[in-house]
Amino acid sequence: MINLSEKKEHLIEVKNVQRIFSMGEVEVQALKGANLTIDEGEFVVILGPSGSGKTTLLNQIGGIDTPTSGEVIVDGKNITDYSSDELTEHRRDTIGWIFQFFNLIPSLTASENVGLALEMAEDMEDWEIRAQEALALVGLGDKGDRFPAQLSGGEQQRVAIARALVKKPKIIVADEPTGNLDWKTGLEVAQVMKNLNQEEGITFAVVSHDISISEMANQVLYMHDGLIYDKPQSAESAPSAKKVVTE
Amino acid sequence: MTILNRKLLRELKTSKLRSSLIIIALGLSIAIYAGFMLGYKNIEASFDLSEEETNYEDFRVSFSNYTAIANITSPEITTVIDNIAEYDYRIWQPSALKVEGEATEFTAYIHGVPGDRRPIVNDVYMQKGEYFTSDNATEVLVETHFAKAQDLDLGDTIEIFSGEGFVEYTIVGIIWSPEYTYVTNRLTMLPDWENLGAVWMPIKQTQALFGFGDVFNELLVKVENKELIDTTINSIIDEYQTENTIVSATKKEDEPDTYMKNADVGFMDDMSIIFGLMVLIIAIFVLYDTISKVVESQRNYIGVMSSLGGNKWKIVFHYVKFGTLLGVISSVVGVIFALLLSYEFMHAYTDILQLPITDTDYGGALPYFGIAIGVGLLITVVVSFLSALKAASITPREAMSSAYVQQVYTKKPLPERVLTKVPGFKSLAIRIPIRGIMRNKRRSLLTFITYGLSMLIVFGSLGFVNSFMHQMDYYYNDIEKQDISVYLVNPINQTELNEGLLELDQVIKAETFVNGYVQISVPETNKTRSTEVYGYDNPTLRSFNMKDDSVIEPGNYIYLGSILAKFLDVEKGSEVEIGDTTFEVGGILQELMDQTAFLHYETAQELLGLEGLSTGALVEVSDVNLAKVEILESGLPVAFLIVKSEIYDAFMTMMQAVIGIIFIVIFVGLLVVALFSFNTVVMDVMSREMEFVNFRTLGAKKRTLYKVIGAQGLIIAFLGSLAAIPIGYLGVRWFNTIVEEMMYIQTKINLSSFLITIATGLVASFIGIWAAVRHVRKLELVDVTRNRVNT
Repeated sequence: MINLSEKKEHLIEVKNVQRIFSMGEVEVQALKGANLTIDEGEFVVILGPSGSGKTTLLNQIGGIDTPTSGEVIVDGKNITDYSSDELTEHRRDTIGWIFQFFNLIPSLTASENVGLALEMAEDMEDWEIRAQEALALVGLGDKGDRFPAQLSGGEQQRVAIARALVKKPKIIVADEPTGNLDWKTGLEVAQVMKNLNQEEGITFAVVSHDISISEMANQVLYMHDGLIYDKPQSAESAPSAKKVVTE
Repeated sequence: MTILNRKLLRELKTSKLRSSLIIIALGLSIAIYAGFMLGYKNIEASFDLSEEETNYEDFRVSFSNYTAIANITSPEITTVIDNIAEYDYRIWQPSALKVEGEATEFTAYIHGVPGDRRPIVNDVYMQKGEYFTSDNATEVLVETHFAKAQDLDLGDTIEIFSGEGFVEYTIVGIIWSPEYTYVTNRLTMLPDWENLGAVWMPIKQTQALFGFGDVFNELLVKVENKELIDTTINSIIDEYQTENTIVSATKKEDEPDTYMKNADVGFMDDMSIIFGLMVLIIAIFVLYDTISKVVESQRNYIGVMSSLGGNKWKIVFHYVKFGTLLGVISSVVGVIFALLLSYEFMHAYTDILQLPITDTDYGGALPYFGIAIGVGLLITVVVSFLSALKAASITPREAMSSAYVQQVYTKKPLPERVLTKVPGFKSLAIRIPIRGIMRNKRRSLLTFITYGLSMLIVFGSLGFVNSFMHQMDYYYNDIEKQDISVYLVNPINQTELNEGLLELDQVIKAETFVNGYVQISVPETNKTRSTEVYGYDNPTLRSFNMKDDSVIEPGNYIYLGSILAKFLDVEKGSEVEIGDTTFEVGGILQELMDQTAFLHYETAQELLGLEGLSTGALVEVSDVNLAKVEILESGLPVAFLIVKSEIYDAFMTMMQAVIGIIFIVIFVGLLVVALFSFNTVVMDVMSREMEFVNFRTLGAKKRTLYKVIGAQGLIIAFLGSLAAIPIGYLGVRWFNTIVEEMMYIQTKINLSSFLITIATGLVASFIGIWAAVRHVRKLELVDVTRNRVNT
């Protein structure tokens, strides 16, 4: 029986997260107490200038990095103090990653690049069929045998998306997915992601410079100097918008 | 097949050059070790079979004066001495011979053997013709090396010097004998393939030729139980030693030819390990360097694999497999090359030595193949693991960037701060390589050492040739100053010999000596050896390079060649025995073929029972060829002459073959240096591709690329060469100690060898620099900036 009085669980919760990097003698505070919640099925776009902390924030959610302080809860699990092995498991079971530079392995075909995600997860059953299905979902069903060098930039990024979704993760995190593409191709790639969000119910957390991608989002957040806001911040002025605070 | 395995195979296929380098280096190391070992085993087996076929002796007994055959045939020696399985007697007499129609006189070793039957021990292998028809036939058999060198065939005639004149004999057979595999001159202990004529003739003919009665001077013995060989030798010496006949015995392994063979085969054994190891070390570095750089160049792919949830050990294992697969391919290649190498090696060797029978010993060599492959694979796995370990520490964050900057610089390295103060060294083309080298000091140091090691083959080989040539020049100029050594058939009064020689027109100076074979032993040990002793009286035509500047003194002092002293395990002040006389070792000589012992003239005369007599003389002459004829026709009882220049030339001819082999080794060394240099420079540039792409996008010209890449390559080559020199010097010294059992060689390396080594390093480096610049210039900037294509 459902307890109606129970507080609704967010899929992703970032609570007052700070991340400080030591660069030799210099300390850089990339996140200064960031707060964020993302619900299941959302398509969240985080915009912000270079150095605002977007990628660092995504790394905390995607299990690539852990915060210096604060809490990160993903799919009900507090991953803040996860060990390296636990983070690996988190990435394998819950997250799909998309990178700006595609990072496809040139010696593998599109289908094999997608299948690599399954091999890493040690889940190789029917991998060729599953990789083909994932490629079909991104509109590359007929290009599985092509090597990255035989694909355009947009197609390469779509292969990277297929690689992220082939494991059927709950969340896909994308770091500047259109940053390396021209405007038109970028839009096509963004549309593919949106379709996956709507048709497959996958939650997307996307950081980008690209404002056009925000049109597809059901939540747009803005990062400035290590903090998350619900409105854009100008570089000169002091933050005026409301900081996003976890409920 | 898993996706990672597909990746592995495709990357191996696309990186043919890199993979080939590893396969060549590792395969070469396996091939050298296993190939030489198999060659060595096959040659040993061929030696054994050839010796078995000719029933080669276990030991040879020499009688300093001729002994009547009746002495050993009645009663039969086997009834007097235990443990003799088979024996035969013969005459061994050094002399001179002339080939039909030619004036040149060659040193001849005459063997008087039974003419009516084949020798029971030390038979000959008939390569051409037939054995003697009778005991009285004026027929001879000629040893194959000499026959080949002098183009002698059946039916040709040769003339043998009898002490009074030359007597003609017809060649009825060309033979091979295990006693002359290397055709070692018993006096000089040096091989002489072209000018030493070993001849067999019926013993009755020999006795008639030299005017002997029914006598012999050598007894060849095969024993029943080899463990009792020393007792058997001692029994023979006790039985046959008389006041006038000194009996000495030489075991098969101490025979000049067997000694040369064992030293040569042992040398081969050492070389297979040394060169195999040397190439293996280089292979280890190439493998380590390559996998490290592959891991480095694939950081962001590793980051992707990690971000996809890949277990870090699974990723490490992927790169270990890369190395292991190369190791397996290298083993296959290595084994094939080892078989080819051993085949070629054995045939080249047996052709030179004219071995009539060849045999193989694959079974005996199997463990060495096992060792080579086992060690090769084990090292491949371990090195691959160590070099791939870095992949475990690569985080998924590396997948975030197209050109993740792993290089963290926080300060300028000291060499840069110093060097950039020098005018002309301020450009970035110098700073960048220095920072690159100093960033990972341990790896750079390893690079220099391995570079040095690869050049060690070149430097070591040149150094050995230098040392050897220096020792030869030293020995034949500063030690042996005579032109001719005269050896007599019978000892004569020393004044008579001296005056007889000085009467000759061509003779400027003559100094007599006395020599003979004795059995030298070390008290309270089982060390014993048949040795030639010489007695000199302060000669001016012969110097002695003695350790501690000792001089030959009268009394019971003996002076031993360093190789002989090492064999007997004695030093200055130790005691040795010859017969019943005890001698104190008065000094150790360091010359060349140091297996001789020296005494003061009078001490030697007394020891050999030759008071007032000489057995030969050292002579200085005006014209060697005229003097040879004059001496042989002088009426003195001359047995044979040793002409210093001929020995030197013979040795140099032999050394030409060795130097030829050494030049092949130098070529292999150059190849290894070039491959290593290529790998180091090219791989380094490939791992820093983005850096060079940036240069090109900034408009860097070809010249600038050459400067940046060249500076790093040249620094590595120069420092590597510097590392090669001290290692090489020690290597040559060590090399010289390996051949110590055969000859004494002092380490002397010419300046040109140092310069050639450095030049080799630089030239090899240029090959790598050229290839690296070519690689950078061929990169498509658009592709690289859009999507890293390096693999």
